[in-house]
Amino acid sequence: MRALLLLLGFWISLAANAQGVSEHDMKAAYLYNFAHLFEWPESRRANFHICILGDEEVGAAMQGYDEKRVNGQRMVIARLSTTTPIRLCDILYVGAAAVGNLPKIRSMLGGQPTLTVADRAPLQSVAVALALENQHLMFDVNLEHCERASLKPKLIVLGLARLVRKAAEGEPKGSAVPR
Amino acid sequence: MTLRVHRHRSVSGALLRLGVLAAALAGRVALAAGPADLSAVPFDQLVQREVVSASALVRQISNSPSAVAIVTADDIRAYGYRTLADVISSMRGLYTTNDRRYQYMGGRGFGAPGDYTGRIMVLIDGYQTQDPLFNQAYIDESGLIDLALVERVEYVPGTGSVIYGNNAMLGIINIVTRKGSDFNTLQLSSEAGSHDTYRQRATFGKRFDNGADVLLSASSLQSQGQNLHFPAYDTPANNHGWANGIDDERNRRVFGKFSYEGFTVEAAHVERRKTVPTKPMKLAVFNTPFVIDDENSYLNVSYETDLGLHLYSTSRLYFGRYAYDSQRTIDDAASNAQRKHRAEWWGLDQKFVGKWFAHHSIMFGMEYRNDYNQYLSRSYWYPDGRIDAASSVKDAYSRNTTSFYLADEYRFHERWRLNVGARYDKASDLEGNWSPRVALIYQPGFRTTLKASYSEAFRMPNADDRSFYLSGTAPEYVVAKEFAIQHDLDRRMRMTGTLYEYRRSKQQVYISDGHYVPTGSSLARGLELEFEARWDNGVRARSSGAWQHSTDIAGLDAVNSPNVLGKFQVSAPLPGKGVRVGIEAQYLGSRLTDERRRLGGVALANLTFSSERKWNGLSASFSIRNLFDRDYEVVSPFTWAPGTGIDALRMDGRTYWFQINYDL
Repeated sequence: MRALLLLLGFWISLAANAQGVSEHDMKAAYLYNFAHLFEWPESRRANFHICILGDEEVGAAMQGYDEKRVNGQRMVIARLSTTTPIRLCDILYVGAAAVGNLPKIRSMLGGQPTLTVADRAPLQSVAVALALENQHLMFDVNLEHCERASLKPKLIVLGLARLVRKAAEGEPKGSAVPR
Repeated sequence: MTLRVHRHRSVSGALLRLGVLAAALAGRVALAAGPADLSAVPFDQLVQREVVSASALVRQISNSPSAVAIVTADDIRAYGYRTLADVISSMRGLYTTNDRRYQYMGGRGFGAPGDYTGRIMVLIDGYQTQDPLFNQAYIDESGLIDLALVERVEYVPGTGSVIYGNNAMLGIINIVTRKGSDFNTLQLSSEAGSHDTYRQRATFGKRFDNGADVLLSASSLQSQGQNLHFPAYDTPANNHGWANGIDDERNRRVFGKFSYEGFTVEAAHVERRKTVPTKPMKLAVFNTPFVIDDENSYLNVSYETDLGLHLYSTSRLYFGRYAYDSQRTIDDAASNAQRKHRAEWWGLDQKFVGKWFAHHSIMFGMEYRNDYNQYLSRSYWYPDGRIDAASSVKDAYSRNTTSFYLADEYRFHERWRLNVGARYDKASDLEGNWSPRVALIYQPGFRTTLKASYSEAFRMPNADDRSFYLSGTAPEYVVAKEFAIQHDLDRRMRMTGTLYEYRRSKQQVYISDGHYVPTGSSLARGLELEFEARWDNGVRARSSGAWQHSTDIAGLDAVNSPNVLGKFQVSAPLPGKGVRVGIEAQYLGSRLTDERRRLGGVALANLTFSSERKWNGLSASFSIRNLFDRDYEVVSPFTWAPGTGIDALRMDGRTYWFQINYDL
């Protein structure tokens, strides 16, 4: 009997382990974390805008973080259907259905401090690219893009990233020598 | 079922003790975590968490105005597919025919006997794999790629000449290979199957810190085959219809891919030797060795880049080579027949995508292809070593093709898209040809897509056609109309329906005395329905039905074109979630043979057990094909035994296959 219980318990634990997290819940959790793990230039806005474009599922999952707080600001989730309001976003998530709009998004944002995160997109066109690999959600960071948007990733982000794309060589950088 | 009940109870307090026990055993218990729970998890722990079942349903990559069918690496494992032909047989509206020499693909009125797997296009990472001598796509063990290296296979029904030009008449099979990072180790694999079949494979994959990705793989297959009985030759002079010990097969494959940023170099090579146990030509002598060798190789170099100013570029340079050799004994004074066919080609494709306007995505480019060597040789030798010069043939051809293409996707309304495109192909030996396509796409909601398209496609005569039809050689055309609807019931379930009509024209018609004229036309119409689901508990299901009617150039029901095709697949993790079971059933409706006999419909079942996760680097799978040992026949693609009333080939009964993989 005891052996049977043991076996059953083992099976249940396996089943429970296998449950894992669904992809869009995980993506939403990443976006929530990115809000804390990047530094934005000083903002006087009361709200912190997380915008979701081209992915209804992530949009729905993100809704659970509405009204949470980040560095004193109130998190507001906006599920977008067009690119028109993206200049108001602090984080802009571009889902697979809208990846085709990235060039346009890039030119609309210019140097605006918006963290662009995209799903399965080439890293050169966003700050953070997400990718599912071996049942784990990986992310790559494009420092050149972050620099252009005046966003500073905390060290933990760079440590956990699968790949960090350095800023282009020869680009003028702040002098490390104290004056 | 009882286990399921326990599982539900386990969340209640009654079995708390059990839960504690479980935690002690497994080390940790991960409870189902909603978004609220996840916000409390530190990021460094969050990234360690396993993510389940991707976004429930697999999305299509190709931006095509037809309803694409997709088979993923998960499906390949769950249903124990071993060749591309197995994958194709599992897809909506498609079937394969095996003549113990090659496997051929059919569907939508295509796939007549004697037609190699031509008139479709098989692409591996964008490279067109057909040889230019026969336009054959190799989907069996003579094919270029091991299925273990395949991430997904997409079947894009409908014509594709608007993008790919020559030969994309029925549809496109798009193979996407896996990345080195999918392996991230050295994997050794060994397989054993019925009829003394063995395969060994070694694959090394790695992704480097700078983002470079490498995948290298080599494999070899040996199969003894069977002693086969052919009732058509059951006479004492023919060993009572038994072909003994002449069904062996072996192949060797090598594959390599390196990618860094937008740059990719990919190369593959396959050589396959098959002994053919049938009597595929009139003069062939039954039960004598007939050995064929197929060799295919390619090198494909591509570079993708963002040129700025909303202009993207993809450049591709490719080389291909195909070789065929065969030797057999024939019933003639010059009793040794030998064939030696060779083809070599290279090409350059430059594609741009411009996104200059808010509502337009404009693709344009050009391709140059040089088939500088197309060589066909058939020679006959007397037993004393003299060549029979009178009947020996050596044909050498070549062809340059220059093509231009342009397509625009115009989003003229939030819910409407218009896709208009055309491709112009000019071959050195043919008149120029335009292949246009117009498609209208409507998305009333994010769950529903409707697509309607009209397209024209063509096929240039290949070297074999040129050698056979001589001055009667001409291109062949098809006009296709298609309507498709795709509706996601929720994020786990999808329905797909398509209606199509293909009108082919300028097909070769036999007149008399070996003369043909390209004046034939034929028609195929059909309806396909599919249901697909991926539930969060790991159960995946797919079921489809296809109803088709096609007539040949004489207006009669087409040969080897079943009116009904059905597919059913379900796979689920067994209790404990360590093992997945995959059950597949395929129905091949009744179809006509060359002599216009009707073969009855047949239902086949396959069963596969595969490990869901790796255990100390080990994973395994076990498959049974034709589970109920059904005795069935397929339409023979060659003139079989005229007058005997037997023009079908008997297929294998139940077979077994076992695979074990070890990650070092």
